Amino acid sequence: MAPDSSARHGPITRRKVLGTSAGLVVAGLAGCSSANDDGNGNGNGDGTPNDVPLEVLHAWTGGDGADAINKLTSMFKDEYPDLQTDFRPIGGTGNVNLDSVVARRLANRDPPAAWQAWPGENLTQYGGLLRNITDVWEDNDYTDTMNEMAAELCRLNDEYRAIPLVSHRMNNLFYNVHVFEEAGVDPSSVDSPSALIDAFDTIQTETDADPMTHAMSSTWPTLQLVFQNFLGMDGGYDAYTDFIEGNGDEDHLVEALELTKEMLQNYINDDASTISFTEGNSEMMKGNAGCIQQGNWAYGMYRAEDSGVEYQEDWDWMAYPGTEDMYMLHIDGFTFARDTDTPVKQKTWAEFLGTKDAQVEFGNRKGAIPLRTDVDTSRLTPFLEMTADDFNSVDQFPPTIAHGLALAPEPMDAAMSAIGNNFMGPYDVEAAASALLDAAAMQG
Amino acid sequence: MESSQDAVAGAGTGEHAVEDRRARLRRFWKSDFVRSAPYWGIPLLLMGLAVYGGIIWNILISLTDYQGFLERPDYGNLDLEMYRQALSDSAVHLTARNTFVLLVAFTSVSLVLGLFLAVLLDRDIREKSKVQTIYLLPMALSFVVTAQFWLWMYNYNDGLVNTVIGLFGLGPYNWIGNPSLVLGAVIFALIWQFSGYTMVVFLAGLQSISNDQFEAARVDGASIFKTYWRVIIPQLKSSSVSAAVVLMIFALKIFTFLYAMFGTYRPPKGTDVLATLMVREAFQLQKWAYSASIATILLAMSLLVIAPYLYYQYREGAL
Amino acid sequence: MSQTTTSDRDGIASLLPEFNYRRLGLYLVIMLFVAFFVSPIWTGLVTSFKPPGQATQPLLPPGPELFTLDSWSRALDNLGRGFVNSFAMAVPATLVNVLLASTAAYGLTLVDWRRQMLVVLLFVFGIFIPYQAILVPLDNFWTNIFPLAKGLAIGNVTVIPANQRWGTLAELAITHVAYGIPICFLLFRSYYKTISKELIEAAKVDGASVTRIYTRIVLPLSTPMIGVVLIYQFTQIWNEFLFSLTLIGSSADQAATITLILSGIGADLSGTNFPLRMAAAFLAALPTIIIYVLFAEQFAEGLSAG
Repeated sequence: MAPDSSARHGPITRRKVLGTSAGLVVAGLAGCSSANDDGNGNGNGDGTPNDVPLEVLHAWTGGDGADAINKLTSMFKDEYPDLQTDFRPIGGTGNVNLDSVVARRLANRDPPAAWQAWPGENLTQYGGLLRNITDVWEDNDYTDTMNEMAAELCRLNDEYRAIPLVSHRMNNLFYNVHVFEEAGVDPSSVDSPSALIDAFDTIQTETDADPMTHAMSSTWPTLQLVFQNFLGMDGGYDAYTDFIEGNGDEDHLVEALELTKEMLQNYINDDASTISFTEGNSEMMKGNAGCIQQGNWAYGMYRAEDSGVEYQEDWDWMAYPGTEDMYMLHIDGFTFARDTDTPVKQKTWAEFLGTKDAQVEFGNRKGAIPLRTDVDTSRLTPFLEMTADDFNSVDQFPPTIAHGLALAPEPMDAAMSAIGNNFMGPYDVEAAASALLDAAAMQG
Repeated sequence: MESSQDAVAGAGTGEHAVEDRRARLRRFWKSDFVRSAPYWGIPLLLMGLAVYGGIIWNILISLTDYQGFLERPDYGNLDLEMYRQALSDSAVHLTARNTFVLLVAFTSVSLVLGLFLAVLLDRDIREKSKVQTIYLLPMALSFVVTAQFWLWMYNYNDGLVNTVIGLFGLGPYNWIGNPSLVLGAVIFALIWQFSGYTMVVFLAGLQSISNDQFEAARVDGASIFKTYWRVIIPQLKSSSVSAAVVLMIFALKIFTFLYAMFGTYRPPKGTDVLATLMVREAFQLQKWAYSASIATILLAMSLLVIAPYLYYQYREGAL
Repeated sequence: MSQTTTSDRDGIASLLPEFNYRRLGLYLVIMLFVAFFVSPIWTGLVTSFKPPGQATQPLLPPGPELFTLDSWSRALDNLGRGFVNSFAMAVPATLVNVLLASTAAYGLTLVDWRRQMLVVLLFVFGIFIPYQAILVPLDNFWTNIFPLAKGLAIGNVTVIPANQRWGTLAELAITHVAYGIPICFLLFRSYYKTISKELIEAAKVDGASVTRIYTRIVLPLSTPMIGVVLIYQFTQIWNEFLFSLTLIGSSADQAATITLILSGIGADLSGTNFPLRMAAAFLAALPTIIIYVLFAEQFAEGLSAG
């Protein structure tokens, strides 16, 4: 299997030839299988393999997400020109609309063949409706070549049920180089959340910029920030592991909330509660704010041609203070429905998503890194290369709460409520802490 | 009368009864009730299934523990568990309180403003119909559309509201971001949309009051304010009641406005109402039975308003 | 209707001393409220012609160097499908609604029979229910019990072929008809109550059947009310959102209605594009604004009767 998969990443001409022949083989298989699967009459009596297209739902509707998925789908079509596909974008942030469409389709016993989903606890909601794709993992050696933590998160009830595509790092602090210089803050000296608050204080007195920009028109950036502080404190990683298992340490959580409260009350932009992170991010780019805490999708905006900022000249990155040895994990992947009319095409799509090319090309456009540990990281943009090298060298991967890996939908919604109801100003630390602990306890 | 004739003609008592029944049946088939049945029956069937069938089914679902999409509701095992949960859920308390505040504030301010506008326009002024058309225009727009306008109005940096109050040296405020302002901001936008409607209702009411009463008040030497307060406004009671009920119904549909404005199932803290909570529990979390129980609570709340109103209208013969 | 009051209220005007400053004050207040009602619409309009990111000074139109129709053409691209879908759904639904509501009001108003008030109450109550109270069953019905979008077959015979887009729109139209009947019923009933009973009685004495009275007398007399209800109900259905969200779910769906697409427009990861949103809001509101301007009188009548 290994030689076959490496052959796919050879020179473009050879790959194309191989791809086409693979497509023919797949088409043949699909023909057989549709004859078998659809024996009880789905109306394709002519036996052509392609009359039921592969239906894939995803939530990448705008900006760099749309670029990335377009590249991905056109690569797929080039490789399998005879395979009919139906890619459907479903907008909305946080996959909410996508998830409710999928839920509706599942209830209707008419699920799409594949859909974009966060792995981890998020998968538990689908129970027995997901297809077991362990064979795809094993036949392609993905079991060995994917990041171990990511692989584990794609398993549900002992079998693989999802394929990871790319990962965004969550524990980032993006900062404006000029603001930090003007204030005389040395980023390397900022090594804990409380050191960060000191730095904020300096920025506030030395410059006109807001020390940090933060977006509170939705709840998730604040939920995210609380757990950056939680992780950044001493003993953060272990405390985090305990927390998501439902045995959170209240004192640790209260302290993290206090730190966050201090930041939000004193050091952020006035219009925080009305803006989205993209608006905040552009304030940081313009030098009106010192830094922003976000998943590295924020990088998509710096990289845009008309952004007017350069990596390391105008903006730079550091791990969120105190989390230098961690990579807080987010995963975008796909999962697959059981009992569809296109089982072979599903498998083809799943295999394709795990290839190095798919992960690199998609990641480069989306500002995310592949989950394959065996890619040549120099194929990535310089910033992503640095991220990927970090990814391959750290060994603590706390899974994100705000993006479905650590908590199932219901506790995750409860965690959102905990922040939304108690921590959007005024900041009630005690109430937020107990509501967050209750949310995590729902997990059991 | 026909049947008694038939009865005389009949030979025995058995036959008599049969004949009688037949005649009654014949008369029944010819009655207006039966003849008009297709006219109201078909709409009744469709509407009845949708409304009453829907309500009963919703209550049934709320008694199960139906959730997710893996199983169908199990109607064999009904209990009040969901209601117990809902009544002890702090989110329900909070949203019920917000719903109540919204209902009361929005309805009363819209009524007062509508009355003021009606009195203002209830006289001989130029271009009156154009003015009325403008006042009523927002009412023709969808919640989805007006939500977009107000999102822009309340924009922190470039919105009109902050620009205008900035002229007086105030603000800027986070109208829709600050939890203590957002409900007021939403209510204000709703008042903008609906006070034209209350104005139309009051204008219709004012026009049905005869001029003699103004004359009489004038002869008594009452001031203009007193004339309205003592003589005219009491006569607008029934207009006010209908307008208030209609406004409350619109206020219960606030979900659309909030969803369109904030683009998510979860509006910001401070504006979460029962209607948004219900839809979120249902379509984001697939907690069907739980959301059905919240829906029933919402229905019960609106019944508290509607039932007395309909009874009143029925007694007045106004239905 | 309400526009017809002209000089009949000179009574009040004569109560006012005809000082000019009073009159002036009156007009000032009226103009102030005109500004109040117009300003959100005005600021939206001028913003829609500005490029995104340069939409400052909310009251001023863009200068010639900034003026652009980009947002309008982008909005039109995005909303095009929604226009088709909303029309395809709203027009038949409105027509069926008018028909059913008028027959129901006829059978329950102009034909007398005992206990009909009970049925009337059933209809009227239907106006007031919050739709949340039937949302879960509604979703369940179209998803699990009667998924029209998946087609309809009796035995092996396909009666309605499966079609995701038009099937879903048909589900939506039927839903609108069912829940629109009560309010349209009330509008017709209030109108039929003003038709003279003698006319109906006379026709009855002449031996006219229930059907004949409806087609020959009531229907021709209903024309003005049919206009009112058509306008009112079309506006309602066009503007409706909750049913679309429930039955269709996503603005990316082929069957997405105009309000559904509008609700998500201009808000992606690149931030909120207000000019695009405003242009789209105007486009989506265009049919209802046109109707409103042309038929303001009927619209007001529908409202005050409802």
